[in-house]
Amino acid sequence: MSEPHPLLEAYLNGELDDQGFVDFNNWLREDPEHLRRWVTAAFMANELGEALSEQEAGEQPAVTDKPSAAKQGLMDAEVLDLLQQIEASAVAEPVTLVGELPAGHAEDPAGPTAHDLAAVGRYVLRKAFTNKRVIVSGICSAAAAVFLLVLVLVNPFASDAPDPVASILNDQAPATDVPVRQQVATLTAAYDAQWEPDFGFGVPEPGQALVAGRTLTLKQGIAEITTNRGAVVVVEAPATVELIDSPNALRLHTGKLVGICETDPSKGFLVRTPDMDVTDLGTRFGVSCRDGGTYLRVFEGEVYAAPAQASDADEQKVVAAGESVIVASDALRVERVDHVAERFVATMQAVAQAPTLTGDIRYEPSIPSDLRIGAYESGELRLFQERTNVEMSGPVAVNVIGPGRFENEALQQPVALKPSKVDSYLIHLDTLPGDGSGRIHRATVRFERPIVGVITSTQAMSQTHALLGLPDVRYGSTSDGKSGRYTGLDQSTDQHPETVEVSDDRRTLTLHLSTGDGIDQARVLIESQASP
Amino acid sequence: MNRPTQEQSEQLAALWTQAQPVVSAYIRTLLPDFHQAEEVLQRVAVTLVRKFEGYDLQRPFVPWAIGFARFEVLRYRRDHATDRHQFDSDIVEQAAELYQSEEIDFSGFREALRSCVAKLEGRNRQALILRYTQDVGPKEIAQEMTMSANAVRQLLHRVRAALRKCIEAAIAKTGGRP
Repeated sequence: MSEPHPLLEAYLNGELDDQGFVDFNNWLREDPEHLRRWVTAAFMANELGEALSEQEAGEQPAVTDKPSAAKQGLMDAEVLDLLQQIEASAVAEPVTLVGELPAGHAEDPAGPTAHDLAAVGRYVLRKAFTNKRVIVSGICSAAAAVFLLVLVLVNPFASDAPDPVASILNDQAPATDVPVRQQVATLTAAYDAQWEPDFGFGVPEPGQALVAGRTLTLKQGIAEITTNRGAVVVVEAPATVELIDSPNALRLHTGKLVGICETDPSKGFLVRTPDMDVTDLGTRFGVSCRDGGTYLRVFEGEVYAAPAQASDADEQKVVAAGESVIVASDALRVERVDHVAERFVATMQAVAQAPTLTGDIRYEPSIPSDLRIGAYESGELRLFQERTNVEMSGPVAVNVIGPGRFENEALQQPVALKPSKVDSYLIHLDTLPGDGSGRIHRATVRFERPIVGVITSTQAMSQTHALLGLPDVRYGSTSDGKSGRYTGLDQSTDQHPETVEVSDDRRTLTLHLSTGDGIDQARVLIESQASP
Repeated sequence: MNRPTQEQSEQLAALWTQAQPVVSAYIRTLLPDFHQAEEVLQRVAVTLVRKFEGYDLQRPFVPWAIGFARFEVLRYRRDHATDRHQFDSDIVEQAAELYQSEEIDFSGFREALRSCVAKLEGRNRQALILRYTQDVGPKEIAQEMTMSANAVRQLLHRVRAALRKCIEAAIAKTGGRP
């Protein structure tokens, strides 16, 4: 018989702590015999529960065709002796009895004997079984019951009852299944967010802790959730997400999100949708869940995608950067798709690559379809994502190139930007009726990649709408820039100079703008991620 | 999903009766928590029903079933990736291979164990019942049995060792090997 190993003993006693599990995994790898000892011991432990439950319930031991060891009188005398020795030695310690004693076992001044204690132990245990600590007889019994239930339900002769498999496999545990409502994430930001009423919790506010079991329905805007393990999830309305009982997972019922997992603890971040399980391995990806299925687009790194309804590991696929897959509703396969609609990709990338903002400005990855005066008025400075990976085949006229501070005339002079591949962002400032002009807005925008040019004149803006703007957006000026309203930063006056400053590393844009009687718009071009 | 025919249902029920203890043990080996293991076992059972149409009756059933159990354990592990009380995926795989092999005579082991357990009495039996039917740890057992936790650990170890010896002896006499 092998010597006991403390880690194996701790495992069998259910006492392995975090480090213990790590050590135990390593110990199992050391020697195939360790694995064998573990498997045998674990099998015995499982069977012990079954056998004891059956015997305590008065059931007969399982009958098989094989003659049992007991029937053959194979209980080794040495083993019996050993068991009796253990029985005797285990009661060497003084024992205090609590509660009613069974008949014939009144308190004895000389102290209880081993047999008394054994009898009392069995009595106490029977009381426990019949009163307060009834535990289901065992995993096998439970599973057998489920299995028989499934067999009955799927029996074609039984009835036309709904498919039980789908309902059983549907593991969307209701919130009430979460035993302890512990914090698993934090709402770290919200942009123009409107939420469905969430009874019992109120409207979530940035900085608020989010507990397991909570479901958030975002009607409008963008919200950023950070899990306790550091995964950042940006959710775009309309969407419904549910925090589940994990510090590194959530469920997307419907809508879009982008997952950003850039820290080691967040690796393994899981997004579950009704159609697909997405497991991140330290990357960026977008998920869109709607009627008909779930799309996945990977921006960086790799993720695992598996159909939520499949039980075959072969159905799991690795999805690499630049690839998109779909699992159609109730499908059991992950299907690759050549492309996802550009707007979907643009939105996901925009969210994933959201610039860092400070000051009087807000970011919205989804650009409104009509930015003309009267159609979209916020009275605030806004930054919108426009296009990504735009190939400029010829020179494009911009107004600002390179580091420095630019104002007045410098913002109107066209400068040829040599052909390159860029992403475009739109800066937009309008005036609410009654706000008047001359209101100053100061902000900085930090981009992930260098700024290659800024378009600030009305004329240059109008000339680049077709190439760098979105085709279905009405920007507020005609192609010749003579719509009657200015749309560049050309309302500058000596009293309220508008300035644009590009930092030396060309990643930070500092804006100093003032409201006028028109719209102030500028277009920022940054190096595309796909640039060489 | 095509629902199993009456004949298939009966075949599956018979095969599952034999395989279930091994599948259950495999899952509990990797997911010691009773409720976790129960959840996964239920998933496996349902999956087997769904997949039974593709099962080749000429092939052994237990390895086939363990294959699905392996996937469900990995899936559960992935869903609870932040739970540090998890076995690494390579261990899950190796355990599956061992359970799928015929290296260990689980059937003989199971039979012998029941005979040996039937002989247990007193505190030995009480401690095992608390540990293995109520999922109680040594500290709680110690309170229940008014012993020290270390004494409970020693007791559990010695009873398990004795049972193991009993089982090995029983199997050896029937020509098997645990």
